[in-house]
Amino acid sequence: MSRRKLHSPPHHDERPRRPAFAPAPARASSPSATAAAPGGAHTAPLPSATNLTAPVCAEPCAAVVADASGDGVTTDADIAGMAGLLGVPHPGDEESGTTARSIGGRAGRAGAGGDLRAGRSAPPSSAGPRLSAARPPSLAPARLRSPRSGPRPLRPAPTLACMTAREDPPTATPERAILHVDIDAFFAAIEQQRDPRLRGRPVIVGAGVIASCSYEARRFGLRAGMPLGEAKRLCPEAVIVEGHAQVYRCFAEEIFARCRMVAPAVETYLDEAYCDLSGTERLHGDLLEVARRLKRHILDATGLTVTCGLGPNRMLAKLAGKTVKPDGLARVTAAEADAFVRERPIEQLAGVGHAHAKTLRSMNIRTIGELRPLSPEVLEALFGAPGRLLHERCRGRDTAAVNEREVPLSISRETSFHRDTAERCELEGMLEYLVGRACRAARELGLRPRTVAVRLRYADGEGAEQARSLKVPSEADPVVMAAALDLLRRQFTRRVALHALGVTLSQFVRAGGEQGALFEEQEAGRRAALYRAFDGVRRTFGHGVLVSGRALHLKGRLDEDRHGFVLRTPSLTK
Amino acid sequence: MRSEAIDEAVAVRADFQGGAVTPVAFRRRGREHRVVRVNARWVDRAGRHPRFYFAVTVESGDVYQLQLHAADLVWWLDSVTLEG
Repeated sequence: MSRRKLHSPPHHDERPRRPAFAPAPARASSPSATAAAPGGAHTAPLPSATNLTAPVCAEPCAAVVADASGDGVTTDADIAGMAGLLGVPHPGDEESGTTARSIGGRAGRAGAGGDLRAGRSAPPSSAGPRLSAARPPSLAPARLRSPRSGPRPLRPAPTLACMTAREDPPTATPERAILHVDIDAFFAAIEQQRDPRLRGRPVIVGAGVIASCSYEARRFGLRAGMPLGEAKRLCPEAVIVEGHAQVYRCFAEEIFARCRMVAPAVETYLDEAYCDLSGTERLHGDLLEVARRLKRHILDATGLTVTCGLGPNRMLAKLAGKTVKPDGLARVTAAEADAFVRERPIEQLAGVGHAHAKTLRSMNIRTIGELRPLSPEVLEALFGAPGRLLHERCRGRDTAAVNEREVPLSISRETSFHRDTAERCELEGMLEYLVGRACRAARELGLRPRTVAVRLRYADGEGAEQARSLKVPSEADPVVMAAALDLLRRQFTRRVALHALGVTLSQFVRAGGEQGALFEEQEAGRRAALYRAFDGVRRTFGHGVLVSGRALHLKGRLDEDRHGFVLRTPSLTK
Repeated sequence: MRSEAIDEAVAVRADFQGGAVTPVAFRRRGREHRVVRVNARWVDRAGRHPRFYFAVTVESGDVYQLQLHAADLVWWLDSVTLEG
């Protein structure tokens, strides 16, 4: 069989290219989809291992066999399939180097029917035909000849794959390595950790609705967001615990600190983190082992289990983790992305929520692969601008970078009342308290919001929300409160008690980054100094030590701790 | 499960070996409660000084939450969780 090299097209990934001295991805010879049991002690079968591996095995075989027939003709589909399968080397990488060879070898093994899971790959000697990338022979000498002194072509000449493939070839070279860390049943696991009597029992955390529930509770069909009444009906023996947001935050910070020890960039959310491990192979070695070690350290430090997914982009990393929850570890390489994504349920695609999934299912689109025939224009018409993202994501492509979010998109503080109320003093008191908390958070981040929004929910379930832009961005309590109060009065028009109230600040600008007022500078300076002093006192002694204005109406109505008033449903999900 | 806030300063006998604090027993209302197990520990670094929290099970089987203020080394008993 003649060996052919398939040259990668110029890629359009926005991320910087791997430096020339960076090692070839170690994944080439490593297991491609691995599920590890707790502690990584042994290989456990993936729930969807067959789906994950079988299509990968089938397509490369077809491509190789078609080419191996010796007719010298490779169809578009063959090339596209091969290009999609191979983590084709970057043009700047070593010519016909280890990357292409080893990936080709692995693909060949897969084609020979080898199991791609860890430790189950067939040995190279038993591999089927080696699949190597093809490139017109005339190009290689040109590249090899190019000396340092001579002009180097900015991009290589188009290759056969570039010219003929109908599908855009994958842009996975150099392959990124994103580790997704998801804390299993976060709130419920912490409650079980704090009180051993809850272990092994169905535990629900939340008030009004389920914020989190243990895996024991999930066996009864309980899910986050479900009303507690329905949860009790489904699982009468469930233990319901009110949330402890401050405790959860402390545990999350501990876990994220561990993530930052291994990854240069970590993007964190409430109970999950994306770690960008790209380019750290030389430092860490096998990234799968890094993930295994991280899981062990987190378990030792906090007693909590996490599920890790390793992939060439954020979406694939998260999807990989979903297949092995809880306490699992899985990896999907760029070569497997196509097959891995294709058979997954459409609901698992990032950006497809309940509403989108319902729309797509009504169109008889049930798997991610079935979404592919839809053009970007159709998807945009269906779902707006995010539709174009779905067009990329359903092909396993996601170029979103892992960013430490220095500036949040919004800061919100909301709660429900212990009992539904229509008392104006209590409503306005709560609003002032929530505004104070939100403004303090903004000041601590050095941000000034331009937009203030107030959201309320009536006792009969109806809701309302309005936002207003401030004339000048401000993080001062009275300025924000004036806007919020006006919004509340405009919206609270029905003769129905309120069940919940919330305030959201958004459209931030950096403090000090805007034009100051000419005649109010002294007043603004005094006010800023006053709030700096307030924040200092609250930071030391707790937010509850200073309560002002309307919020005094809450005294005696609500319990207090050092964090301030004990709200019924603090923003557990923020 | 029923959680009751206590929020009072208590005298705690603690082990500081190995660079880690571990409460061994505490006295409340003249009665000593021996800690049989530290279920969880965490640190709140939100304020100027960290606060160390412990969820402990005592001999009676009840679960208490203790906190140690790093600033003044004062122990507080936050809450107790009772069965039922």
